[in-house]
Amino acid sequence: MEPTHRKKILISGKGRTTAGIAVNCLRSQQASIYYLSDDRAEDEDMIRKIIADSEWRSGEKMEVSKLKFISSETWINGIDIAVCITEEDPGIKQHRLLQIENRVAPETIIGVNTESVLLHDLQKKLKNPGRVIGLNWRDPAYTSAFLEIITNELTPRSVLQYMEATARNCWYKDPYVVSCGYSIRARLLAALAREAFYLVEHGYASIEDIDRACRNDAGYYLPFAGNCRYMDLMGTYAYGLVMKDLNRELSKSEALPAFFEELVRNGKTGMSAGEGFYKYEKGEYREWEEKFRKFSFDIQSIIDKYPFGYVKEEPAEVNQSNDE
Amino acid sequence: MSDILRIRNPVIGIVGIGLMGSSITASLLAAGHRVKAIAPLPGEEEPGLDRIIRQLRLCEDFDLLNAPLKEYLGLLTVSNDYYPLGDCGLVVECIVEDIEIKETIFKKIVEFTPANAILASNTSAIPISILQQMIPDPQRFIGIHWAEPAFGTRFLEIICGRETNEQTVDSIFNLAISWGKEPTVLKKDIRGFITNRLMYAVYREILHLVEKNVIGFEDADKCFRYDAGSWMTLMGIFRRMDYDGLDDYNTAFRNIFPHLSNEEGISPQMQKIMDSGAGGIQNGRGFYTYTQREAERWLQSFEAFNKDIFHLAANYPEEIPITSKVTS
Repeated sequence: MEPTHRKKILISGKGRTTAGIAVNCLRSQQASIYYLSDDRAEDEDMIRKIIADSEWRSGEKMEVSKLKFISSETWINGIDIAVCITEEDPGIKQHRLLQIENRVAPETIIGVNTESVLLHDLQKKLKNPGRVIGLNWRDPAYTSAFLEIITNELTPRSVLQYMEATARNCWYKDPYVVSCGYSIRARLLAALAREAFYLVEHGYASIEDIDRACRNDAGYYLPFAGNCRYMDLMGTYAYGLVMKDLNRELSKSEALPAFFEELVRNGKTGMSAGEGFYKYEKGEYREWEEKFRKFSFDIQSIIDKYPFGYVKEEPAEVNQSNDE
Repeated sequence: MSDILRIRNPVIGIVGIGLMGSSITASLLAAGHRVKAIAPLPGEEEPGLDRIIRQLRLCEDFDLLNAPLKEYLGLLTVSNDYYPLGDCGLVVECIVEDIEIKETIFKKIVEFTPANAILASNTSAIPISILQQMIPDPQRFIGIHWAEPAFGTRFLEIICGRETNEQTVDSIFNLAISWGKEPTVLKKDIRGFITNRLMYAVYREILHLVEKNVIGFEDADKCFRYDAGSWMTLMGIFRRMDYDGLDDYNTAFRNIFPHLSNEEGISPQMQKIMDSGAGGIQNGRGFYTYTQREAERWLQSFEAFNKDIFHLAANYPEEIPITSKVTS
């Protein structure tokens, strides 16, 4: 399989994240997108709005006619990649993967989002498990270079190469690959959240204070080059000295804090429910979506200005990490 | 004294005008405060003043000055003696992280400042609850922790010691808002404060995954730059979870927390990096290696980026009401 812009992509899922992925794939002008949606009317409306907003902000034109909604009964010939987005439930993921497997050819690559379900568990009941990989996006996908490709020992090299090339050449991504079969983004975010939970649960800081600390400290350097490069810029050795004393005092909790479990139990599951860690007035969720969409374009324009390693300017001086 | 600038109260004393102290001084001058800068070491006044002027030029670069630089210098005195602290309402100590030296300095500060002035430390290493025992009335002692450069972000951490009173916290919180900061309050002293603890938890996990050979440092950087880095200037971790929906996080965290690293010390990987004398871009050795030219370019790029992100973040402020903080 040679990566080419003339691809047939099947997208299965619903809601904002999935709609954003469809728009991201549409940016590659020669792709055909087949959208298998649970709620066609809502998703179609969302996609049209995103495209209109995106074209207005970036000036980039997209051919909406390349996007076709299909029903779950349709067999599509020649699908190159099937992208599957579901909630974080192994049963639902497995069911959806079986459904897709029965509708596409044996060589089609299937990429499914997963935060904590092991790739191995998702591959179990499939006839051709090696072609299923983990594919995690950042929402909204169409303004971000983020793509996490999760593979394991069952993944053929050709599948990985094809996905990497597609991500770079057609989807505007700068992907990284983890071959351990689980998401590292989820691990790193969980580490951050665990400490944030600890500080709130033990009365050291409020939800608002934690968020302010995130926005106004890490928010001012993470978009430049991530964590490790930042430590190098500030002086790596000093960070090691702090780790020596601080690590032993960081949270080791294996359980979720009671205040978080209570929120979920009471259906206070975030903006869409009108309450989560914060309370939201009617219409505030949409305002946040608008604000974040605008912000995503703004931050991406800065991220684009500072490429990793400055490969674009100086091919001869590509930085190498110590672990390579 | 300037006719152009709007001068703010109180007069603020800064004791110690090294890199951090000079940056804080410039930040306060830019906000319109009269600043009494004290250089405790003999012969440090002149280099200290030079540093403050350099920092003020950077403020100018960030479009933070509304008048010519010399107008702001008119708000500043630099001295070796402590007697100019006599009319200060707030004095911030910014000297080396040495508890005995700090004790000597605070004795002098107490001697020369009004009895109702708030006294503060910019320490990021010594507990405020310990430092506040160095003054006769510890309830007016507090930690104020700026990022570097002090004027370049909205970040400001306010740290309460065991005996810090509410009035002191509220005064500093409201003052910080008037500086254009979005202050965070650490209600009880804890090592690493808020922001360091959050990020060191991430560093610990990165090093653990590198140790297991699951990722390289560049993967970790890509991951957090392109994901967290593309929302964190707008949303903190809790707001982001609200935005995404808590159900999936609930399932994912339940599965993941038992697998997270609980490493108590330095990981072998980090120790190896430290053993190489890792100065980062200062000596070309850190998580990555650098030629001299690469190091220079990274630094220049980071400086340019700082300006870009400063202006972008300014378009997405948080409206924080001026209220009582500790009781909320």
